[in-house]
Amino acid sequence: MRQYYLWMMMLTGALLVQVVQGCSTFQLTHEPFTPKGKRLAVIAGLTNPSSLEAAQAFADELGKASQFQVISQKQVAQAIPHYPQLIKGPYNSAYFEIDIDYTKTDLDRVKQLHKSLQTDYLYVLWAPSVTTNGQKSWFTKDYSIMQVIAQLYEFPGSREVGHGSYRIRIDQDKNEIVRDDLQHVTKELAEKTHMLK
Amino acid sequence: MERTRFKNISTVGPLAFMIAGLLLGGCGGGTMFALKDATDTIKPTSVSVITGGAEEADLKLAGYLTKELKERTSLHVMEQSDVSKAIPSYPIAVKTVEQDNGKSAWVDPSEKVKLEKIQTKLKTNYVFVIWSKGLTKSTSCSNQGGCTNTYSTNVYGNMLEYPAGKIVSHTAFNKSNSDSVLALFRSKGYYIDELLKDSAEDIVDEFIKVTNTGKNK
Repeated sequence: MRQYYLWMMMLTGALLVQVVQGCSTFQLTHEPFTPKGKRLAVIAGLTNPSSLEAAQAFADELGKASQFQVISQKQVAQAIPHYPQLIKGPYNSAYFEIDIDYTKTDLDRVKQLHKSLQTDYLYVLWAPSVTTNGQKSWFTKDYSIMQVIAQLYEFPGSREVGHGSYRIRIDQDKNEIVRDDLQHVTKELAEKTHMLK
Repeated sequence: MERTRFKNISTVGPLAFMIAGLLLGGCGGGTMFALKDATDTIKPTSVSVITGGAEEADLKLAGYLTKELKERTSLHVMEQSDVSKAIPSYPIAVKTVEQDNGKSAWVDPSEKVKLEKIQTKLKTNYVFVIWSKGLTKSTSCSNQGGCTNTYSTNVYGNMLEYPAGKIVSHTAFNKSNSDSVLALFRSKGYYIDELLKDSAEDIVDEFIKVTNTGKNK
């Protein structure tokens, strides 16, 4: 019986890692890619707490993993009046799953917000939903899953140069994003944009 | 059972949502729209709908309610795009005080000033604040194979009259919707969209009855 539970724990753990790290989290939309600058800002496209937390954590981790000069969330909030502001995101719906459509983004709003930042790159992310599995187990740690979708824009020109969607875990005990998951995402972005530290 | 998590109520377990849902009316029921004071009358003037939450379901519900009010009532209804333009940081979370284990919810009195500021930008006589709380997804599978997903949400609303800033109505009900084999051919989120559309329709059905502001009158 004990062996059975150990197997179940290992299987659940492996599945969770697969969910978080199994797929590509960032794809370039124009290849080959050559970076045209280093200044990058991360902004939330939604006003909900999940998006703000994700933007904060992503900016921290990207700053550590890449050669991008990532401006702080404090600077973002100072530069953009009434930050965070709602930007129509790249999806049709986003309840328990994101129905992705990268053409749906309100690019005019993105351009408008970028005017206040004047960075070379803008990484806009949306975290529209956090799902929690109601089936709790005594043998596994409980995580909520935050679903994130993001687009990377290059300026001047406001061209989308990359995008991706991914899931990151939230430690329910600490109510914090699991940084290992985000590190995997930021490393992939840094590698693909040839900006890995 | 999966559920979307709302930060401000993250400590409330799924069981509490189910209990609240049952208290609100089990498989769907509760108060679609009722005047706080039955002697009040709603003037056929202008109204704007804002969401008090910041999740996808909140925004969609506000959109569907706006559409229903606009199409079926004689009130001048402000478009959601105009609400967003008028309030740059929209949506803004509006706290509620829940009563009788979620049977009703009221705008928290501490939010009065925030709503007054919002109203001065919207300039409508009424502001209808709406929430979709505790959206859940339950999956049940039969022995013969095949699974059914049931989506459920608790809808709360308050309409405030200005310049007094007085709450004139309340809304509190639970609504659910299950998918079918057709789910294979539907877009993701289709059944939740339908659930929210139906919720908005139910509110406006009752709104028209109570306020006598139907367009075809």
